[in-house]
Amino acid sequence: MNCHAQERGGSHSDARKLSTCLNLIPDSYTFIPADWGSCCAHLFHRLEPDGFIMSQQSSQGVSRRGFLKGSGAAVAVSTVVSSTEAEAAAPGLQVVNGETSITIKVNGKSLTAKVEPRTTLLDVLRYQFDLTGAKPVSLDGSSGASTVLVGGKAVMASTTLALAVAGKEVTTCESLGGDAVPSAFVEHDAQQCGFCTPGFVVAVRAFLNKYPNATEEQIRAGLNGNICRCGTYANILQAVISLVKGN
Amino acid sequence: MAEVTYSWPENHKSRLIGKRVSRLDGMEKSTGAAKYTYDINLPKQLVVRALGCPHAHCRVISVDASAAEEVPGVVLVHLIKAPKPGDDPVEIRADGTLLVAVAAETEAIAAEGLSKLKVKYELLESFVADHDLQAAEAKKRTKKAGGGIELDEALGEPDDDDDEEEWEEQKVQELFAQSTYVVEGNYGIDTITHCCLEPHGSTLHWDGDRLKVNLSTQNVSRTDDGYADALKISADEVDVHCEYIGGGFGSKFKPDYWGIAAAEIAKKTGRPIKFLLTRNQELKIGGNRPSGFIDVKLGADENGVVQVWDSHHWGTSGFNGSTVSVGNFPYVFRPKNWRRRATGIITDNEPSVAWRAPNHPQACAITQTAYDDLAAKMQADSLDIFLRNLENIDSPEKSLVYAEQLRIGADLIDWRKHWHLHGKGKRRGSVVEGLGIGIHKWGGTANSSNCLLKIHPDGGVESYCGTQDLGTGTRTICAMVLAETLGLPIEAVKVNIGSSTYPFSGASGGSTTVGAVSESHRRAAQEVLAQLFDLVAKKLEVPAEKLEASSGSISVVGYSDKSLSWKQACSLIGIQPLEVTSIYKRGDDSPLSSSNVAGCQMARVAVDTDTGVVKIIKMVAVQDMGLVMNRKTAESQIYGALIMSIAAALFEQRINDPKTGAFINSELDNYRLPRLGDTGELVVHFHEPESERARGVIGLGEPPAISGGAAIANAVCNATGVRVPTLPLTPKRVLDALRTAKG
Ligand code: FES
Repeated sequence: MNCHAQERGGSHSDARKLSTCLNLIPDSYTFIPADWGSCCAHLFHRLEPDGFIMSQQSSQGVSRRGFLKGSGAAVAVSTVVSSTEAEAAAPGLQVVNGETSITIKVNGKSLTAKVEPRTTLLDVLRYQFDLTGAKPVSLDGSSGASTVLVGGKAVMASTTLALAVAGKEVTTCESLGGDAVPSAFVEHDAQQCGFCTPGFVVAVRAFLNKYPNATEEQIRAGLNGNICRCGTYANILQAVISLVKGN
Repeated sequence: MAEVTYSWPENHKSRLIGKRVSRLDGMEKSTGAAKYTYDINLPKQLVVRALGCPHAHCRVISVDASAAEEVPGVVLVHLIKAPKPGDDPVEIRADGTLLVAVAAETEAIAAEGLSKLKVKYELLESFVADHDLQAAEAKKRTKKAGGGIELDEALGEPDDDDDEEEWEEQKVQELFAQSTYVVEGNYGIDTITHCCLEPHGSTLHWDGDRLKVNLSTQNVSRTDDGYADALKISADEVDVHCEYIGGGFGSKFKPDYWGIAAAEIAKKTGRPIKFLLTRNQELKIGGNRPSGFIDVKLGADENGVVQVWDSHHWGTSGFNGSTVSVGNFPYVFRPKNWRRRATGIITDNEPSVAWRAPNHPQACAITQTAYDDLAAKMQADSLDIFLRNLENIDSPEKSLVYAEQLRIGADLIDWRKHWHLHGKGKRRGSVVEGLGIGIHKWGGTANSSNCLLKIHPDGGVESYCGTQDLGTGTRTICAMVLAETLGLPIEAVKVNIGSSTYPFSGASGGSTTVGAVSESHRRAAQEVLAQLFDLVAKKLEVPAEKLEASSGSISVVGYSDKSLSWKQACSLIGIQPLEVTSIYKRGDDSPLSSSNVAGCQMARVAVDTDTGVVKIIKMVAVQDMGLVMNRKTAESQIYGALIMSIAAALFEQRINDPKTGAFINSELDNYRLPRLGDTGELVVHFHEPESERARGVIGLGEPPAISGGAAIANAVCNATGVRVPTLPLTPKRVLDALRTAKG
């Protein structure tokens, strides 16, 4: 199965990473089939409580499905002080119930959103801030189309709760107009229909921030969290190679 | 004005056509500025989510929506394919069929509303085993899907008192008896889904009696009639818009029943509606490509030239029970004697819809594998067997083109260096490598297209055409053609596409769009230019035939000082813009476009015989396409097609649970698609001798998406010496085949 990594830069599964590039494989190497077994167990924990208490640390490991159970669901996060129905769930945590206002710093601007515990970052970007570059392709994050940066790290906006990013800095593809990545995508025609492209652009930005001198093998191994149905991978590869050379 | 003779500029005079031009909307797509249907939010819109049927075959008895209607923020519950109270039950034949829609203030509320619906079902027996002909026959789930026979004239005719079928059977058996080599095999390819990354759907509203639809569609000019029919209004009351579409691949030609439901909900609620399928629904009902399975027997002479082909294939296109069309068997190759038969299998699945190169990839993958097995049986070089069989193909005039393309492909993949007999390659640990080939064909005739071109007295240029850009770069090609013809920089022309209020242009299906818009835009630009030349000729007192448009001016050929700038020339127009509407009808004889291409693809793979994992080392595509318009986007089309072939050959398949019929892998975490690291090295070669250029524009979208599957399957067989019969070649299937071969 295809699994995803919340933090880009690595591949979406270690098994896949190992078997990604033939050139790296010594004579006696054995491939590990990438579709055997679960390497991303957290995707399969379908947590379905009516309310939810979450610490900052665990927020990357849970499914959002648990939050879709009702607007009355509660969520506790360490960064949000709810003005409505806060109650202490554990030391350092507050419980948020119902609709609340949060501020997110998006592309350098502080923006206010009205969110429920179940509201995802993707919902807020697309429906409240009219930032529709991040796309709703697979809500479980397995397509990477909703990739944005939170505090500089690539995350899927579709699997990130809005409350979890309150007060944080979010960067979306819309702010990358002056960045070298979109220009390289245009130059190498790394887009056809373009629906996967914004997610890929952000993923590439995050990848290059971490591996500015990546080799071709590293690029092939490190950008497997995103899907393109039109098949622009060859062009994306060329674009990323050119960006590394440009460094 | 002299009559305009349509033509393309000569190669050395082209500034843009045939060059590498970056797509004009690339920056918008890369930075999220491009607005797709899913991205359009209308003021006061409601979001719709629908309940998909959880059963492959059932009757929906009743729906209790009372709890859903109570959810704060739910505005309307709308029945789609479900009975109203007191109505007869509704039979459902496919998992995912949309039953009931909930319109609400937000996506989350709509989803919550859905979870409160209470639906009563009566389960019915389902059948989904499309690969199992005997089981289908036992369950009476089969349907004749055509067939035929052709025998060499030299074999004579049956006598009047002969039973024709018996006579034919006898002749076929005689042909096999005379054959030096006989190969029997079975092959298959599973159903796959279109899986457009932007799901099917619309954002729409009523403006009085006028329906205004933002639709994710490949058919901007002609979905209005679909709405009109269903909603009992007339097509002139429907406007369809689609600036950007996130994938279609043949599945987005109609409003679809959920599109009609969106319009009905908008009418009932008086609010704009956004209704797009979820990922799960997109895979289940957004479109699928029929499966194909085949029993083949072929007989060849001592040179490996196939003399007789006998096949029976079956597969499913869902509950209407058709299969891959029989007309293309065997694919490209056409021995002198053939008999072929097809059986459709009726399964409880959505009916299939067109998929990039309908029927061809499957026909190629399940017949050219048999030709490769002939090479394996003879212990001959597959390339030689493919070359020798070019003497019997369905378009004999193409045999030299294929031969040349095979030679080019072989050079590019270093065939002679890497070739070994089937199963006889060097083993590195558990890894073996192999080579394989597939060849293909396609028509690619230009679709009908009209273009309105306006030249303003201040020099402004704008065009209007109801075409769409699926990602093939249509918008850019429109601009290139206008700019090239008018001698202007590409930024100087403003291209408008994606609205049904613009002049008609055909649907994007069958590789018809680049031809279509090249026809309409070149014609319009040549006609406008002729009118402008008349004005300039008068002014400069020279004959109009002596004028040319280049580098932003109109000048006398050979006298660059005798010229007017584009702006000066346009000022001669007067106060009203110069307008021309060109009309091109599909099938009109034209020097600008034609049809019929050939192509070959080769694959080099590595197979791990311990784990069954197949890796692409390299793929090569050699493709002719007439006049290349935009070299950059044309190349991308072929890269993308290769990657789609890899997807169907190694990864993607619809999996139905055999007991319940449920489509069980309808999310992207288990509907496997290749990732960036899965594609190996890809090489694209445009086969374009001067004779190709002279043919004009030919569509390119489909052909390179055809033969990659056969090439990969053949390469795996060459590597392992064992045929893995059914695509995708998953690790399990590879291991099963290896185990069976070991006995
Ligand atoms: S460009 Fe269409 S999905 Fe990537």
